[in-house]
Amino acid sequence: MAQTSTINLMISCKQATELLDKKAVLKLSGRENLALKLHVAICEACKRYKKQTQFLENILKLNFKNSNPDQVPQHTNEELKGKIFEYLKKNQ
Amino acid sequence: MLIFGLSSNLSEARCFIYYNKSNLYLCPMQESMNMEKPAEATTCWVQLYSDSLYSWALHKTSNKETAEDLVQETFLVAVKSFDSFKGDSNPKTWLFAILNNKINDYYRKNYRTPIVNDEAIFDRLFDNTGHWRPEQIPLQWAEQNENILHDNEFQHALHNCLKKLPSNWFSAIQLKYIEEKKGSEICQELGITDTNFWQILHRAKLQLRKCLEINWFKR
Repeated sequence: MAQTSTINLMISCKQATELLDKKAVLKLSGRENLALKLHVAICEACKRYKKQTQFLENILKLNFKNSNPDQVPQHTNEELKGKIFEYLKKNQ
Repeated sequence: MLIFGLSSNLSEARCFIYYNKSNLYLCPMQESMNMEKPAEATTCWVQLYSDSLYSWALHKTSNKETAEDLVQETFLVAVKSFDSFKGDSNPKTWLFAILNNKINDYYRKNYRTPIVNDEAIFDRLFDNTGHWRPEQIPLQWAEQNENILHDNEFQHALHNCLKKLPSNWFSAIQLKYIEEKKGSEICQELGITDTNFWQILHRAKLQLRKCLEINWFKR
């Protein structure tokens, strides 16, 4: 793993995808940002990765945040009710 | 087990009676729930709410056994802290609050479970110079927007792909996206380094991207 302080401006696809996902969690250094921009500008594959990982970011946010208990698929689990009663008996 | 709603429609009933192992219970619905005995109240709550609690836990953890365990623990907490439950608050809200705490604890515990630092995914996708392996280069995806989440088939594909993630990668995803917290705050809370956290998220996203490509975009 390249250290932030010594990162070369010429980075590989592996490093570029790392930085793209790191960016979703942490602020990149100026050098990291520059190296990433340069790489993505010339690499079609990583340009796609960038777009797709941002798309993933958006749908994951929506998927986990906006869900509320009444909107998720409902299942019935009769067996579980029995298990709960047993579990409560055992632990009281 | 028999359930009688005192209305033609159970959801509209003010109360219902049910019969379980030779005991008869009268369960008031919703807000009017204020019973003296924790055991009886809990028994009613199990009948009323265990399915929706379970559905929620299943949605959040994508694992049947985990979801069942979490719901069982929720009811145990409910029995033990019954005195702290105010009869005037909605029992369903109260139970969901307990369950959500349990779910968060589960993610945290799960995330901390040490695993071997998994480099295999990088070797699969990139060659030793760090370039995409030719067959792994991301394909062009058809233009998509967030509305795709309303598509049941896509939801299904997404959930299957999430399920296939190693459990602590999945927990990292949950922690990142469920709580509206900054990455650094989550790390501080978990006592892990930022580096560890984003690197796990990165692996998870690499795998998730690939899985969705195969199971959705490439179809």
